[in-house]
Amino acid sequence: MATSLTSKKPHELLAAQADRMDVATAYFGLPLAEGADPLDRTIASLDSLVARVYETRDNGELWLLLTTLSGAFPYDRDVETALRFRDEHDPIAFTDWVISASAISPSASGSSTLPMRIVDSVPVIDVSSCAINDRQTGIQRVERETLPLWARDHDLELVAWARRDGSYRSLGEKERRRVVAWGTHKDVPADHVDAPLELLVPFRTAVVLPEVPNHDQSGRLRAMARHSGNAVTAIGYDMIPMMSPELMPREMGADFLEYLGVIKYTSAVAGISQSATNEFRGFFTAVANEHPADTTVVAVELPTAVPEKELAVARDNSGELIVLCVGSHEPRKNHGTVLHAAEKLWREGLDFQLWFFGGGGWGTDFDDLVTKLKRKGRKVELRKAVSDSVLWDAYRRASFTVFPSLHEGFGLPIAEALAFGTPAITTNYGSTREIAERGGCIMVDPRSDDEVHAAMRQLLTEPVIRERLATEARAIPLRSWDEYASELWKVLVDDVV
Amino acid sequence: MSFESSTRLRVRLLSPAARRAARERVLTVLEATGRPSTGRALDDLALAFASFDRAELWLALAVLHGELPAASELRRVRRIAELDGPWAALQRTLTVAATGGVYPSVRVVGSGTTLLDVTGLDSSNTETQGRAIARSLASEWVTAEGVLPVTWTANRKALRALTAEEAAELGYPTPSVSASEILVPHDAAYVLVGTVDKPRSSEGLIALGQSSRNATASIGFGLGRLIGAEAYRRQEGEERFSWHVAAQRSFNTLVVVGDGIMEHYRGWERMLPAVGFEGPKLVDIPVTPAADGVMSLDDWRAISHSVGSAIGIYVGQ
Repeated sequence: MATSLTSKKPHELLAAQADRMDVATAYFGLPLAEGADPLDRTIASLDSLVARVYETRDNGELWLLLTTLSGAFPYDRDVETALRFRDEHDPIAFTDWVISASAISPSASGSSTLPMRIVDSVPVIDVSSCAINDRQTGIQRVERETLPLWARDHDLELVAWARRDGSYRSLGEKERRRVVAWGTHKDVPADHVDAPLELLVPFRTAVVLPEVPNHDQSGRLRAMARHSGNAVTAIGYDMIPMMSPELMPREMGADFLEYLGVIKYTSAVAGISQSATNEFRGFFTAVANEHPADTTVVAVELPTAVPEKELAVARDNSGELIVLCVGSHEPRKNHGTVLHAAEKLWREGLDFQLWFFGGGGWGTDFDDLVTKLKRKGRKVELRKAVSDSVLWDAYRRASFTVFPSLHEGFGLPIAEALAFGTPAITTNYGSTREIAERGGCIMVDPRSDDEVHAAMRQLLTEPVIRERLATEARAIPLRSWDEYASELWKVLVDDVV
Repeated sequence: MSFESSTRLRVRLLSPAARRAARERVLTVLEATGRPSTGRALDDLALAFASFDRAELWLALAVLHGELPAASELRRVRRIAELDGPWAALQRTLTVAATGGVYPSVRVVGSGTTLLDVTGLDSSNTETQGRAIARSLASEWVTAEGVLPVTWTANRKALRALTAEEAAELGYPTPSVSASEILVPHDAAYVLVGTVDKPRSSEGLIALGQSSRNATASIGFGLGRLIGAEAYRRQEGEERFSWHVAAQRSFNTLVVVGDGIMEHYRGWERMLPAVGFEGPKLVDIPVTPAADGVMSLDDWRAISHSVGSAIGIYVGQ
């Protein structure tokens, strides 16, 4: 008779829990429980582990015990309850509480059946989003450039959240390639069989967050950062969801605010620009009274993400004037201002093409405006999904780029354009100002239609200015991904463990 | 068909009630902006549109639409006017104004009046120390000359006076202004003492702070809901508080009232350059709880007066 999954599952869960207890017991050098019955083994291991945790008073060991029991990282409230029982009750009462907590796992997402491995000798890098999907926007690009270099130079463990977000797990081959060998992940044969996945538990090591976790993950990461003894560190991209709700899809800020609850307890945050770093420093100033932190917040500025071989190809902008605008079509990118300025310039009799490269978008009448302009015969080109090579080619052909974003953590399109020697018009504050101050740019108030119009007019009509800015742009020293990866490793790993 | 012809046609196609309301609003705009009225309301308005500055355009849209305009709508109309002339902008404006189907009367509230926004101070919200202080401050101030307590219309797009019931619940005198009228401040003062965390209202306030000719101020009771959001249950909508703070960003003055919360705003101020804002002038009015938890009436009056003076409620006193 076939055994149904539901009748088999409790046994599997108990066996997995007993196996995890064995791993933790062995990790602490305690005698392993004997016997075949998983419940007996768990109870036997529990005795020695609980006794140790009670005796050492090490919060990290308590966090590890809770993770081991449930198969999921505990939340703050789980750890705080456990701490209270440990600190306010005798060993017997504490043991009773741990046993009851193990019967009802501290989290609904616990009780994984994956075999557990404790990772304590190498840093753990959370690459969940980058590993499981093919999106290639700003954060994923940073990860896919940096992590192959880290993997080349250091031992590390790449992890993703398990399906129900309770704990970290190892990656499959396709997922791993998405992170460290982008582009080759599609080559993984359909019949490829991954090694069995493992539940990975970082312990007394660095845990690096190069992406922003979701609400539930943040709840667990906060407890990890506070109690586990791991040094949790993060790349700080920006504070847009908190500071500029009108520039975000509505009600999208909850995950980010929960993430700030993790940031509060991190050991280090590496801002991607000085502006982004100041935003995170501002956050730590704001919470200083309630939460005096010793988090290191430093700027590790992003490099210019252009392969050298692409930069070696000469610019070819001898033909018609082309204005390039790169980015998704959302209120923050301010493309309506560019369209308005362009239409005024066309009406003034100037002849040029306007190219928008970038997919997606929300919350603007951009598509309607473009349709209307095209109907009038204006030379507007819209490319929603472009490969890197097409984008590089566009930078080479563009007379200049316009990037009047209202809030940026960095401003990659500006840095990329300048790397190709293409002049740029950009925002006169924040991270884009930092980039523009090195040369090659005209800075404008992005909220001023007149300033954007005047700057575009100047670059369309004054080739001498264009050439001067192009010369300035070519003289800007380029920062490499190697430099970035190396500095980032020092701040987020070496300096914290 | 020219924009002028199509605009005139659209007006002719309005119902008599809508046409009357539109005419009334147009006359209100002309009067409030000091533009001549020759009796040909539409022509006069088109002429005025051609020369409106930023604040006058804000006022015109607020009155004609019967709601505080969002920055995106202001931008859109300004661009239409620039590219296609005042009749095109007028057409857009009147089209938007006609979409609601109802036309409450609009009153421009001018110089010498402070609109005190008490949204969220009623008993339907969870009591917090900040809200208790805000309620006490507001109670103190509504008795001052020229202070008019207001809240938002049901669609969150416009300001109105309180109903008699709302005023009674908060312990205020019966309002002298009808709650059915839309209130548009111009050369007046707007003070946010409550909480405005609905996106549309906040968008209206952002534009009011950036584009209108009103003095703007608010009271800050701390940013705990943003910077300590993990302590709140998710369904409390703590992320919407960022809309309240975004509105405060564009005001002239922010008076921080409380015990040791100035650091919240100093940190926030440090983040503002990334968004291209200087932010409001921060004024710190510490309120340290008395040892027995009860503040003397004299102490309380002094604090209320300090805060009121900082935001311009007690001018010259």
